[in-house]
Amino acid sequence: MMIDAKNILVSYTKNGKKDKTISIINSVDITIVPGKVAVIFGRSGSGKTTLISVLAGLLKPQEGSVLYDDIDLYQQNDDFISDFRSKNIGFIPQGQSLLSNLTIKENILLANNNGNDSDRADELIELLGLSNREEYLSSQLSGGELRRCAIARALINQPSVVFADEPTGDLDDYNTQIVFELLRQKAKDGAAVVIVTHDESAYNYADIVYRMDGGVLALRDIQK
Amino acid sequence: MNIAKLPLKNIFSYKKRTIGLTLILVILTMSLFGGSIFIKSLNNGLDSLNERLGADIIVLPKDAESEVDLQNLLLQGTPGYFYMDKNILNDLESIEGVDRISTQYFLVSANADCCSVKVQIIGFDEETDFTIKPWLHESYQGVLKDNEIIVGSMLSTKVGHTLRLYGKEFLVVGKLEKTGTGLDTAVYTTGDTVKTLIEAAEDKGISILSKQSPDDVISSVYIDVKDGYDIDTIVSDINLNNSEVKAVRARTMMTSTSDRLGVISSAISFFVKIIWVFAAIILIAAFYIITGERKKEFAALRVIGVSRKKLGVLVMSEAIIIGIIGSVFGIIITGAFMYSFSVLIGSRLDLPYLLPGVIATTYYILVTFISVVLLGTISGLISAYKAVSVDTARILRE
Ligand SMILES: Nc1ncnc2c1ncn2[C@@H]1O[C@H](COP(=O)(O)OP(=O)(O)OP(=O)(O)O)[C@@H](O)[C@H]1O
Ligand SMILES: [Mg+2]
Repeated sequence: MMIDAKNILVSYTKNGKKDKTISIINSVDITIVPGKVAVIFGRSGSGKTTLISVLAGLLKPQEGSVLYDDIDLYQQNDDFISDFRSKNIGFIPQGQSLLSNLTIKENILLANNNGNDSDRADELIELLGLSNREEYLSSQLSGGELRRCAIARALINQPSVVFADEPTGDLDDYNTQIVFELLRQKAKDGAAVVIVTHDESAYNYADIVYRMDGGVLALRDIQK
Repeated sequence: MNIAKLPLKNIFSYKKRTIGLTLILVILTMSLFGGSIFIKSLNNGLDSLNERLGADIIVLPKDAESEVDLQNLLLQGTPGYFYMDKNILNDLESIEGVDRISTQYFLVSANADCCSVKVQIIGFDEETDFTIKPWLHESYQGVLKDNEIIVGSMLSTKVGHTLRLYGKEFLVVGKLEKTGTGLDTAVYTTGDTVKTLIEAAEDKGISILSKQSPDDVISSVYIDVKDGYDIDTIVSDINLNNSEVKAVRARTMMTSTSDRLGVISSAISFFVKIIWVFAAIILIAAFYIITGERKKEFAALRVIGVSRKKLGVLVMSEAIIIGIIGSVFGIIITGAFMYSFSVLIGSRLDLPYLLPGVIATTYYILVTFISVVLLGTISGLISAYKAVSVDTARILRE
């Protein structure tokens, strides 16, 4: 699935005053293609999370459009967008985002929309080194374990688009490599993958590299 | 695991939250259900007393206590007796507009062996009675013979057993339905039997009548007025022409009771309303605050593709389920309490108290259940609105 975002503008009005509008994403155009890994680097506060939230249908921009093939996402209603996200988009949020009263496995399966694909969940749990933790409640896990669980959850439906916001933020080198490999593999399988990260080692897995600076996106590198 | 299983999962895993909310709902349920049953029982008691009395006018000896005694007897079951000259009957019979007329004899047993307390004995006239027989016949069809008695529902003796009163054996031939009034603790027999009991008592040296013979006295007269005659006129007629007796309208005698009952009922419904207003506010606020605290959870659900609509349904479902749990618990607790302590409540009140039957109780259960679940739904609805408006992108950055 190809994503074509055009002229994205996100801004906030400070204290509700129109003249104090702060723009966070400034006329961003980006095209994400299947089978490729796009990496977005950028300083803290530059608008990376905001941008991928817009791309994933989680934040309606003030201006611009996000097209998934020929579907104009923000022209659809919430039911459609939600269902679409559930089926096609794997989103790994930056912060902690698991339900603390569910086990690892339940968290993963909760996102599973084609029934209870327990085997697929086990496969991801195994792959992400969580096998001995699958019956743990997410409140009993470390930050890195939670992150890996969120990754497994994002991948459970074999999404055609994956957004990963700092997926390796709290992981050691070993697990970082595993996660990047996994996302790389997703792209090889045909998914469009977008990784937001500070981790320079992501370069090695990227097809396209962007840099975000003060709400403006710049293409930095196209590899291979 | 799927989103449909989440409401129950949340309810059972967040135990403190569930218990807190359930508690509020239990209080709501208990106040409404308990209050309704209580008020209904009081009304039932008064109704059954009015029905049992079945006469328009009651004539009593004209001394200060007899009316109070009769009220205590009827309302609280405090045994009492008083007598007046039988000649009054001739005067009463000749009054224009009197349809039926019947006499009763009251006596208090010394300690009957059935009971640790004294027992009220009510003797009625087999031939003329129209106030007691209609409901006696619900439990006993025959004509009472000498030494046969019928007992109120609260006496701990059974049909076929015997009861000793003033040294004589009496056969229990019937046991009455519960009325919730003082009539439940009385023993019923014929006037003639009561007369022989009075004689038996006097033989034993227990002085009941000062000088008259039992044949010359009666305790009270019940009058049924013909249709078309004014009851109050007849009452004042009797009172004007007879200095030894006092006639009271049966309904007037009940007025003070029904006034008291009205006061109690409105006080209770006032408290129930107060409890509801406060508990409803607390419940809605609690739900709302809790929902606000769950923003992260809702954002996480949005990320995996749960629509706003489904998020709202999730919050509503939890509220409704908790509403059901709370009302069911509340109804069970209240029902168990009201039904096991009804005798105690009735006796503490000194008012007729008769629990509603199955149909009325079912009705109150339904009304309570629906009201409580509805309130749960409303608080769920308000909270759902909050959940639905969660700003996912913002929470994900936090
Ligand atoms: N709802 C909002 N109200 C006000 N300011 C906001 C809002 N959302 C985002 N911002 C601002 O927009 C900027 C970009 O935020 P964003 O989370 O996209 O940054 P980021 O590039 O992901 O940063 P980091 O690397 O630290 O995660 C920040 O300066 C943030 O304060
Ligand atoms: Mg960010």
